[in-house]
Amino acid sequence: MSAPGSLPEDLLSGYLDGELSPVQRAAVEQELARSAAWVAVLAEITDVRARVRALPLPEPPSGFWEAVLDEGPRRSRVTRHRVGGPLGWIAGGAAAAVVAVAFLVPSPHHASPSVATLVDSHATRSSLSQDPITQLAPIGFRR
Amino acid sequence: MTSDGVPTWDEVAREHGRFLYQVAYRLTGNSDDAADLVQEALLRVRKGLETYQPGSLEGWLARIVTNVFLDEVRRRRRRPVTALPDDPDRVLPAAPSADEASAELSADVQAALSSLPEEFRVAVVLCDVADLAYEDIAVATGAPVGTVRSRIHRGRRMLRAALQQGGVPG
Repeated sequence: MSAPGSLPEDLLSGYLDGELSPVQRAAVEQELARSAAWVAVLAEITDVRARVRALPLPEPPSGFWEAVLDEGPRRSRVTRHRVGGPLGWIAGGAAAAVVAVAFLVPSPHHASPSVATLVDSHATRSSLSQDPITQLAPIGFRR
Repeated sequence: MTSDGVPTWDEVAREHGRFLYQVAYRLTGNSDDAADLVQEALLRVRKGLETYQPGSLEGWLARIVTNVFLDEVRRRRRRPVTALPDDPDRVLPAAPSADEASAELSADVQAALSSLPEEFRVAVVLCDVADLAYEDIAVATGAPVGTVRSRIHRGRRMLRAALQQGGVPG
């Protein structure tokens, strides 16, 4: 924002807004006296500032203040633009598909201990000549 | 007004609601988002009044509405939404009448303002729309005064470029 060895250019906005100390203000005025570029920038930001400050007071949607003051602060929205037409249908269809998939696809059932652990245990016992069929019974009841 | 100088929520809404809406409109660029912003800000005002210390009320309100705005910007970045423009006629241009000339100039300035990155837009709006001092803007945004001055200045330069080129500033 500033050339080497010179003042920071943003001091010009501080100057315009009356936000500088007397020392800073004097330094800016000194720079303005010798730099045509600074004078041009000051003219530009003065114009932009005036245009923003000249923006009209916006009016809220009809009935907004009555609703706010009658009902107090609330989270419901007074008016919203909705996405309609094909985009709305596509979005709605996609949402419905996600919900359907969530309900229809079976979630994996997690047994504890895991089936793999019980199978391994069964194999070990079988290899030690215990009764393999009897040892399988708990698998059907564990969750 | 309560005995300790703290305004009631009703007083804030009645006497400073337009200030909140004006700042919200210039930050968001459309009336529906501005209305939402004001409602959310007023919710936070009701909660905040319990701990409010009398001081610069508009500075405090500006901080609340700015925080609501920035929260919404972050939320939309995480979950982008498609919104229709405030004025459908701007998408399907109609022949402007002489009466609309002033409105179009304002719309150009608002469009340029809306094209600024949020931190610069907030700084310019709080300075030139809310008319807050740099110190109050610093409190509202949580940035040092030097950063506030820099953002205002760079924001104005970007606005100038956008208005000259009719596009988004680089």
